[in-house]
Amino acid sequence: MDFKVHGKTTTAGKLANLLRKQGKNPLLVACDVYRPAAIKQLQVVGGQLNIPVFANETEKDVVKIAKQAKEIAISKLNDVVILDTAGRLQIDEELMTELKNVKLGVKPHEILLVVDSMTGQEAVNIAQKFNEDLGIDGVVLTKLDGDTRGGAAISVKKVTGKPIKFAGTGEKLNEIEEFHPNRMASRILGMGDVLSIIEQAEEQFDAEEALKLEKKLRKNKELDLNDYLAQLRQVKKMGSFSSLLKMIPGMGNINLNVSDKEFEKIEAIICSMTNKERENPKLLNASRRMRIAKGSGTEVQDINKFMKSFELTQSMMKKMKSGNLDPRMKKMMGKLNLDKMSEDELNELANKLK
Amino acid sequence: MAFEGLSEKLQAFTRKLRGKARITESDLNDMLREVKLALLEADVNYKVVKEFINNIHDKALGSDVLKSLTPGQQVIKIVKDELVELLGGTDSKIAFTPNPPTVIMLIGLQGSRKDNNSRKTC
Repeated sequence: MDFKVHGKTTTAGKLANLLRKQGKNPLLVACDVYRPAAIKQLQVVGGQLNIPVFANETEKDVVKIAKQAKEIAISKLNDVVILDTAGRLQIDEELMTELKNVKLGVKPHEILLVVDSMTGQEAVNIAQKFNEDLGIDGVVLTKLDGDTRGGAAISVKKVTGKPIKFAGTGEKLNEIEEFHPNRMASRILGMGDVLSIIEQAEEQFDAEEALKLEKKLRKNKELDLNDYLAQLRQVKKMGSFSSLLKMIPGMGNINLNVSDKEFEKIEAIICSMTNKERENPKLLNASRRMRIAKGSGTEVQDINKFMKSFELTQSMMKKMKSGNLDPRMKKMMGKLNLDKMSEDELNELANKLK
Repeated sequence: MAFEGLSEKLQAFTRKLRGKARITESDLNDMLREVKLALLEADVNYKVVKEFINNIHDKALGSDVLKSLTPGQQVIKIVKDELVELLGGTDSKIAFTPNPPTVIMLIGLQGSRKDNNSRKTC
């Protein structure tokens, strides 16, 4: 285990990923000449994201590396260069001198300071120190998801005068977002953040997939479990369900018991079915269900419950297609969470639909 | 999610305000005291808190909130505006240069994300 792994490398990867989504063509540059592991780590991160990484392991002069990287970026048409500089355990003269040299030598357009919001006021102090000594353009707060108090996020701007530009919101490499003060304030006050949900949905939404489904349904085919799985995975891509709920106005402080585990269970159930069963769920008899329960590590009851709610979804889709959905139904669907209902409730609903 | 503790307190505060038909200055002071404690508990810098509270207090009094028809909503709006201001005001994005490449330099101390990463490298 390497405890000296610092935050900038992951953040560099996340940032590159985000910028690429915005149509940029980033190049990551390993500027940590003291730790070979840092170079390796950046290469791994870059490899995962399929973003080019420039490293020169024989060169010890950071300024030279940065300059080489810039030339390569020009020749390879990368329009953004992200320098991942070395970190220290504490702020010391040596580090500052090195960073100043890079600043003078390369003239970066943006200097972003990566700080851990979990450290609270310490993060603010670090930001202030870096800003005084080096001058920064903005702050990237990591682990904002874990900081339940949020003191750092609120104080940084006021104390240093430099804005927070990005915030890391989770461990996955796509969990970084641009920091929007307005939306964040709404979220804190429980007014919800619908804009961010829409953006996230747009980002992850697979238009082709949706078109395929639409065509299929138009052809009068029934929704099958393969489609259901595809939909489920689309929703999952948007991030954890509970974090999405928090952004909906009024839902922020309601402790809804929707765990992402429920999703995982359903995914496991569908994945344990054969292709034939997925296309024709009516095949599922008792012994098949038993097999699936074993395969997915669930109970037969779970499968029964899921199949009930699935059948319901199917018939709802049919009704919607025919366009004669009872307005009361439409209203209900807004609040419905099929997977959370008990079997009796599901039965009742199914009867109503018939 | 971030800001849980603070969020809870501020939401309790706004709920209280929403129902009020009339707010007196002492009501306001009492409530602001609670907000102040919530912010301090959230580990917000002391000076920042003080300024924040003073701003809300002045604005709330200055804009005739106490006489307006929906004083609660007014105060909530002021709180939100101030909070936005505190978090940075407008959105700040990266300034890309017209002649690429834009060079972004990431700096920081070690350990900003270390347990996340150590988990990954394990």
